[in-house]
Amino acid sequence: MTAEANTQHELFAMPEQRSLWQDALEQLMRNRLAIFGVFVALLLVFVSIFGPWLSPYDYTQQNLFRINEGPSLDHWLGTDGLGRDMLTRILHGARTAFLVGLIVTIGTTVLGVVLGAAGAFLGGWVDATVMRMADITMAFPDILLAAFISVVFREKVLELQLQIQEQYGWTLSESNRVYLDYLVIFGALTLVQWYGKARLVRGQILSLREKEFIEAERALGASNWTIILNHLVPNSLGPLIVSITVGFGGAMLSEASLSFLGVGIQPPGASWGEMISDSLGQWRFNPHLVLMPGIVLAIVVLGFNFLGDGLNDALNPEQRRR
Amino acid sequence: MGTDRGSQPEIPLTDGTEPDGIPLLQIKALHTQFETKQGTVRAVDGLSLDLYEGEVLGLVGESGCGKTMTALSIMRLLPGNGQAVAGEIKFEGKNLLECSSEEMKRIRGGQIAMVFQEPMTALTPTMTIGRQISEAMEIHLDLSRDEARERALELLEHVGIPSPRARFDNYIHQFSGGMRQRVMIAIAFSCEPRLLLADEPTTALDVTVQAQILDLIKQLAQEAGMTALFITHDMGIVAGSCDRVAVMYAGRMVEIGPVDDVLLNPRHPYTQGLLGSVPSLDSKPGDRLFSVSGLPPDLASLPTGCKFWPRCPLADDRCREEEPMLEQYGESQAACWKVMPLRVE
Repeated sequence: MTAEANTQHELFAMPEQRSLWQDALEQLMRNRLAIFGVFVALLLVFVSIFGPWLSPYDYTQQNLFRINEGPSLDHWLGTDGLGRDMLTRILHGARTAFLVGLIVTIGTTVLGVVLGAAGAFLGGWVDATVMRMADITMAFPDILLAAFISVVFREKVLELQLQIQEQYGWTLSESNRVYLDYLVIFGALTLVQWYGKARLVRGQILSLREKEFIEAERALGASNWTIILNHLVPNSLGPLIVSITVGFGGAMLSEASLSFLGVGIQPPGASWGEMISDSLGQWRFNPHLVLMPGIVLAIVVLGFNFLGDGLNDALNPEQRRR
Repeated sequence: MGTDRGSQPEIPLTDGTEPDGIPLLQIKALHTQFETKQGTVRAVDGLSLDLYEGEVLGLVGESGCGKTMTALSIMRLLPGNGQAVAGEIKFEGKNLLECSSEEMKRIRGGQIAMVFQEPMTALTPTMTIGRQISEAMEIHLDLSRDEARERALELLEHVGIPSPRARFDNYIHQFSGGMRQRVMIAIAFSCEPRLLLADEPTTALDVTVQAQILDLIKQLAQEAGMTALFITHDMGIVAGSCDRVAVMYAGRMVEIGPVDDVLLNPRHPYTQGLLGSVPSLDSKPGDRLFSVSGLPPDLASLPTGCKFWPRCPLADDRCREEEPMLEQYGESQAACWKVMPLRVE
């Protein structure tokens, strides 16, 4: 190659080769708010796994000689009305929040993608049934419906659990029924939040199916499988991932609301919403008992929303600026 | 240049001057219809057309006259409620309308390739340019990923994309309209198809790029000895790129012949109208362009007789009642009762 050709090549040098995901990751890392979201998410995962080992107290351990205390060396964030360590309970509340976020998001995504895709592909009565179900769910206020479901089914699930225990002698935990609350909350929130993703996926597939590049793929002789896997799915993934991330925060917020109203996680289980409602009577004298869990909840939900926004920008190649 | 001489539209005869007497693609009395609330829409209504090996045929007409539906019928990619209800489309002796969907998948892209009108939307936004070109070759030529990549790089170079190696992993939003159409062309030519259907390949591009793209298609088609059907409404493209031209009106053929003959001596009043509406270098500022009066007919309720009579200045009772068949006039055929005397140039 001559020197001239070399310089010319440098003049027209292109950025190095990257895949869509590498591109998206780099784009995400340039977004400060998204970095904050990533940090919050990672911290939440870490705390929810290792929380119990991070503090010397148990989240149910009461010390009635030291109630409603402010921050001190023994109790960094103080103690609540029953003398339980606030930091420990917030750490444990993170586990609740993360579990609810994770399982409800998985539940709504699976339910939403399957129902939405089935509606879009099969059409006809399947589509009509799915969409009317979505309309009906949507017509109720989310929290009210979730509260209703959780109140109605808590007893049933408890009975079922006792039956299983009688018949097979198998139980999750004798003393602590918090797992029951988890189960009921997961189910209730999944049942009221699935429709958003179902509508999203259905709309995505319906609009993509009519796009010219899908027709062009057909004109190339590509099989349905190739078209779905290589063209439909990647093009609908962006909005879905954003919806999953934002839905994560939404699910945590809904759980907190239910627990605040007293139909979610029951004492002695720890949930940020339940902690706020527990200490509400104290807020004039010990406002930190209400503020701590509230601020933590706000930061976490905000973090997930920032992450969702960042992913939205990063995964949309048409919007990308160079 | 191919000339097609036949007295009957249903059974086209050749006069033996063809290099290869057997047409590559033979459309016989094709009827493509759409069932709608307004009734049956006859998008293609008894079209017969032969395409000979190595020729470039231009298919012209107004919007909605059935040009694109003819191409989509060939590809068997008609939208939802459309169907080719009667007729035959023979490609290398095989009737495409009777092929199984598996056979059609092999033919699409492999034997017959299509270039779409909108390069902006006909490429997948989430897949790299290189992968999109390789994909077709992996489907039809059974190449490995690496082999397909090598060939895709050659193709990119061949269609005039600078520094193809660097461009291989770009996405379409990093390409201009003309470059995207070059990529579409690379995809269309990747499996060396025998027939190319180009549906208004340059309509979405600006004029300087149009010429480059047309030259590119012509050059590649010539190199590969490919047969091509150019769907267009641009008489300039027909004059510059095609060997023969077929004029469609309301789903039927009204005139067909060698480009020079049809453009210089149009027989059908509709062809004359189309040519008259093209601005010429001789026209003076302020001159009004000629336009064919009226609107194209409603394909759900066609007039009797000649479908053009409501807009034809020469129509009489016979035109309103009897439908004219294609007849031989000189080197071309036209379907009109009132074929005009040759225009004096």
